[in-house]
Amino acid sequence: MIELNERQSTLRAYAREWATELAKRAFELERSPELVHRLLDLPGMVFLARTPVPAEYDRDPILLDGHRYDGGSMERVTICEEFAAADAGMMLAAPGPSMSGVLVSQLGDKAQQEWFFSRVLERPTWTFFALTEPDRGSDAGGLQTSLVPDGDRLLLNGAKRFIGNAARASFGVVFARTKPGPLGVVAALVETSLRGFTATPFPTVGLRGNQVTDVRFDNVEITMDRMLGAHLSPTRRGLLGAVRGLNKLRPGVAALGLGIARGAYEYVRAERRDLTAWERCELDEMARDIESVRQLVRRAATAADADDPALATLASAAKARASQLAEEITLGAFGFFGAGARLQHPRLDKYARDARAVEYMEGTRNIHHLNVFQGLSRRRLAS
Amino acid sequence: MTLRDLSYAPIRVAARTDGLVAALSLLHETTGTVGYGPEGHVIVPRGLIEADPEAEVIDTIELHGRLLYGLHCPGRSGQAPEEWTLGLVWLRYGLSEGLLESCMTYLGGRTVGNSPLLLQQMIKGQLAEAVIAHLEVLTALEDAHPGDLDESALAALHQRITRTDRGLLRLLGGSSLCADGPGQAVHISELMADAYTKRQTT
Repeated sequence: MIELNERQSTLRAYAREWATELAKRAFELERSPELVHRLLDLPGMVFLARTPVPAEYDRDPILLDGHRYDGGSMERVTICEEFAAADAGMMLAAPGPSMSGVLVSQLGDKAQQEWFFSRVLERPTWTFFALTEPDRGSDAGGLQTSLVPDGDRLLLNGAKRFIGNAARASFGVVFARTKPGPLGVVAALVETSLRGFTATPFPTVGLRGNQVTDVRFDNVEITMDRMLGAHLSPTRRGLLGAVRGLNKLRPGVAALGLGIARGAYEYVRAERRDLTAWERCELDEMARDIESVRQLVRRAATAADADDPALATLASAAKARASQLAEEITLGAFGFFGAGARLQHPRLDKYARDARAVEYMEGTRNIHHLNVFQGLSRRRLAS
Repeated sequence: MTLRDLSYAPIRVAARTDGLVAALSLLHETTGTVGYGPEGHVIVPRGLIEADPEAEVIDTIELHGRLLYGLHCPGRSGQAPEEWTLGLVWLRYGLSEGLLESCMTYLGGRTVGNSPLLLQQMIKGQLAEAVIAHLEVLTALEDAHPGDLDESALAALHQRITRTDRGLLRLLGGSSLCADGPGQAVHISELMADAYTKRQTT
């Protein structure tokens, strides 16, 4: 059994309180994603906007009951579960370093890290992470966004799809190709104010607060000092660096699915008082499944924090199972309320829609099943 | 022709080829009724919202630029006739067939590592699962007349269609999350089933 320590339990208690408060505005955020700009002073938003930032760049860190938090994976899954149990959309709409921060920590040199994190800490700042391309969602290796030298700089051209927060962001990380092959993929820090950058939001079925966008680059000029990983070997930067970064983030995405499942389960517990014996059994089974998946997610988070070679397999297993759990529990929860439950219980319907969105974040179950198979074939399973 | 002999083929075809709004309108037209579920819920296209001034609009959903409304009218609970409830399964089945076609087109045009996605063994297996589920549902529907299938049998068919649609949506990847794409139609299809299903289990 993987239990939270006192420090992590403190974070969980605060996150639960913050998320519950923010969730009161969940439907408003769905209707108007710009609402998030008016919520920036709320403590949950303040925390997300400044976390995770490596300790060396944060001279005035947020302390919770004396504890400091710098963004380990176990912290991340704890926060993600609590926010998602209330409203995952609110968390994904928040400013902060998010996925780009992990990549910059991993691939950036000292100057790039200082530039990135000092700006994030200066004021609430949204960032974006642009890897997925239209028509190549499951084939990151085939990405075609290009970075071509032009004098003392590079020109960025191409398109990205399903990029969260890009329309709100000040800057983010973009993956592009400088030459054919896996080593020809590089990552660059890109500011959204640059000429030729456009991000267009489009409506989605679930997690609307995340404001997913189509992004286009039309001869965007990138200076050499914005290229991430230039000081690293080619095998450690670019796509391989992205894969390592995504593996570390994946337990957090799994925790979103876990939290959504828990939220739907708790909704049933709160709203259905007089349960039949059969219904009590069903709810007990849901609770067992939720705890079981929580343990799997925490195991993946532990692997991420320990740089365990089995991380890729564990993280994909956790993401695949948590997505499945979210789908099963959100659909099963309607049965406790009879015909018309989806119209009559909009919060439960929202959990079901958000569960669908988590399925697609960072690859569907199918993609993660393939990753788990790779772990099996390479004998990179947990011991 | 009596309602018992009603042919659902046009509704199935409309759902598969013209989409949810066209098929739903046709179901209303064919059965001549707005079929409220056991708790008084129904999803109607815009043209029918004025048909019942007693009903409260509790949800508004957009699909390809057209509006649908979730209505609630407790006074009309359980008024959906048997030809309607059977027709709704046919409608959802036709939508699911259309979704399968969309998947085939989508996957046929995409590659991974220079190989068509459609030729990946895992993809083939999942498409086959959908076809098997469709055959199962079709077999149950083909010889059924209104009233032949009881409430639990209809609920089981709805559940089979929902599960199949969810599996197919996964094959469409992130594109199925777009509110102007097939994922939104599946969402509304699920809402419609839910309005008539007293008990839905996983």
